[in-house]
Amino acid sequence: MMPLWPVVVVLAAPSAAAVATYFMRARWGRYVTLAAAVAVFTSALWVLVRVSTSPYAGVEAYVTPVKDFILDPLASWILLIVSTIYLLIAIYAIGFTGREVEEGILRGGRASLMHSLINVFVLTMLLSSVSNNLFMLWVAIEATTLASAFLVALYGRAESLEAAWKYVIICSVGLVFSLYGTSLLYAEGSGRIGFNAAFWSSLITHRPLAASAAVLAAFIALLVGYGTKAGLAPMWTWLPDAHAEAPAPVSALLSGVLIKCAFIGLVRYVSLAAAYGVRVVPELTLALGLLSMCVASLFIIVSKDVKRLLAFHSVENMGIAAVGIGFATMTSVIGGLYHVLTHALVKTMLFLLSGMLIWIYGTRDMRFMGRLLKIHRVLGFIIVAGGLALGCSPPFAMFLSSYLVAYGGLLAGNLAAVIVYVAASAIVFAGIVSHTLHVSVGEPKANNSRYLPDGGGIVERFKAPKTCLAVLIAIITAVTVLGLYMPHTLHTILSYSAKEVLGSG
Amino acid sequence: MLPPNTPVCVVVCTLASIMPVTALLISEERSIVKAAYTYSAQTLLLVGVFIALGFKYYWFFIWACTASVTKVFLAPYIIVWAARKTGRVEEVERPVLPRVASVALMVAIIIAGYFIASTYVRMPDTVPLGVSVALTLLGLFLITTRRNLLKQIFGFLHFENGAHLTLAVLAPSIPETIDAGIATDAIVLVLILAVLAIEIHKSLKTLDVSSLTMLKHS
Repeated sequence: MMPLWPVVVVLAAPSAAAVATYFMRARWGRYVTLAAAVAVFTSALWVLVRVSTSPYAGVEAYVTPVKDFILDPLASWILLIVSTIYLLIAIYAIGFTGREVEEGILRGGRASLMHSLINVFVLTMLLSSVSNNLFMLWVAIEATTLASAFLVALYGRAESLEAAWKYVIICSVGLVFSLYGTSLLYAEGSGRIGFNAAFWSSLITHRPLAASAAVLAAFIALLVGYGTKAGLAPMWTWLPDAHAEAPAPVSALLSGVLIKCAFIGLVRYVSLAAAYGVRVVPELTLALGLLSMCVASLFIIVSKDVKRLLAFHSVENMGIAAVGIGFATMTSVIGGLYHVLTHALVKTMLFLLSGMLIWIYGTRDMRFMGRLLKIHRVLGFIIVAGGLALGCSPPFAMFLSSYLVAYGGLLAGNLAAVIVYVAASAIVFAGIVSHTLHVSVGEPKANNSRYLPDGGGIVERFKAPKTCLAVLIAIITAVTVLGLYMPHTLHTILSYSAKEVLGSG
Repeated sequence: MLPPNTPVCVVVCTLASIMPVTALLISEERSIVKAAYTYSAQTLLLVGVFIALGFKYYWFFIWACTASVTKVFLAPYIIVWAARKTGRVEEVERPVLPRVASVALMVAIIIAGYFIASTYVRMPDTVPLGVSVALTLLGLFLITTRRNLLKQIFGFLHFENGAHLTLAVLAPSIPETIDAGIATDAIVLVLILAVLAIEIHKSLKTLDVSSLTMLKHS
């Protein structure tokens, strides 16, 4: 049995920070957020080490004394991802908030609100990560939508309000299907194991569900519901709007971790389906994954707005992870789950970078961006490396994870799906490289930036806040290292998680 | 599951079967305030169902309390507040479908809900489950065919009552904390949508969803 204290820490720290930051000036609130993030990150690391250093013992062994919470390999994996990004965002926000308030983009009160809501938002994601009670998982995922709605609308522009409206409506409609699915599964299972049918671990261990049309319908409803929140096609239409309209650190949280939390929720049901031998569920996951990749790749080519481009990439990359889970081999599932981490890191970095690009060029339109290497050498380098990393090119970590997915697909003997997968990846790579080249060395359509030398006049030097720059450099270094070498601890956790996903828990 | 031919069963089935009628009234009512009161009445019926079930499972009395606070009072109050705040107490936006087609479709949905439920459970559970499926579908119908933002929130509230009734039929033994969690999510959702509607009205001077077209580009 796992101890309860890490759960208490990961839930109490952001709760306390949310209350404290609301009543504080943003100047101090950002340090409180950082302290909470450090506490959560440390607990997540402890869980990771604890789980990886003992042999895999079946899902029941990872339940905490309060049965509603679980700290199994899958939970420790998503906890690691959420807490890492939380920490990075907390550090980045120190410089970001300072500058946005200084430039008058964000009023002081709004900055405090942003910090408070970020903590609430992270709290709901952490709750979803450690839920063993499937109803609680639903409540937590629905609460992520509620906590992030005002963050999307934070700038108060008509566009951001529209994005927030669409986001809440579409995600909540999707999640109603999940609630139906959860209730149906519970109704089927509670006849045999009573209230324990609400627990994921009990459904896996005691196998109370019989093969029936109702169970199949429940799984499909769950796939649609959590798939909507994870941004999989064809239920993805809210994603580009919401992710593009939010402030940069919030976009990073939405794209970097929120959709992953919903995805891990979905993965928990895929593992249940695998345990019961319901083949349709992984096959549908594979189909949704491939569809997401194909649809997103077309939008990536034509996209002009930098943040929407990154949002389309999120759809494509959730597609890659879903394909990994859908192939249902050990290698592909490890690849898919690893992709969740690698994409979270790269996407966080690029969304944070996009915030700085908007400062430099005063627009989100990439046609008016260019010659970034001239303006700021380090940022120019990071965007080139980041673009290649996002295009799944070696030596970066996303190459390793997406390669594992493809290799796993070949091992599963699904050549047709692998061909579609590779073709969509190639289109995406071409798209991102051309966009990256344009921003780093290309010529902007018109020069609106006060930092861009155009032959005469005094040009201001762009000074990137130090904490922001440090976060970007740390991420690109981590992504490079993780592409060349996968630490033993991560490999162990991924193998254990893959065992769970494949239903041998 | 419901014990057949008992007073509890008769009360539950009677109250539940009136609920879709209130949904029809809400859909066709142009006054937001009257629609909100009708929604209160719909939830009162749901509270009646819970009280009846409370004689079988005592914890349904708590469900009845949660539903009364959140949905008989708070949710309609929030919508009326948003309507008064924006000064749009009448639904002036024309729905996507004309009235006759709308009513016909809604009746079809109610019948479909009953048939969907009957494939899964036997009488007398078919009545409350059928109503819950119908309410959910009616909610979806309201969201997709109404242009008024506040009317779309009513769509959500129908989901909410539908889901609540489903839980009562399919998962009566889930603890009250989960029920309270789901109800809290619902009320926060309504509040957020109402605030967003007010903000949208502030910047666009309309509550018409078809004017939300600024993001239709890549």
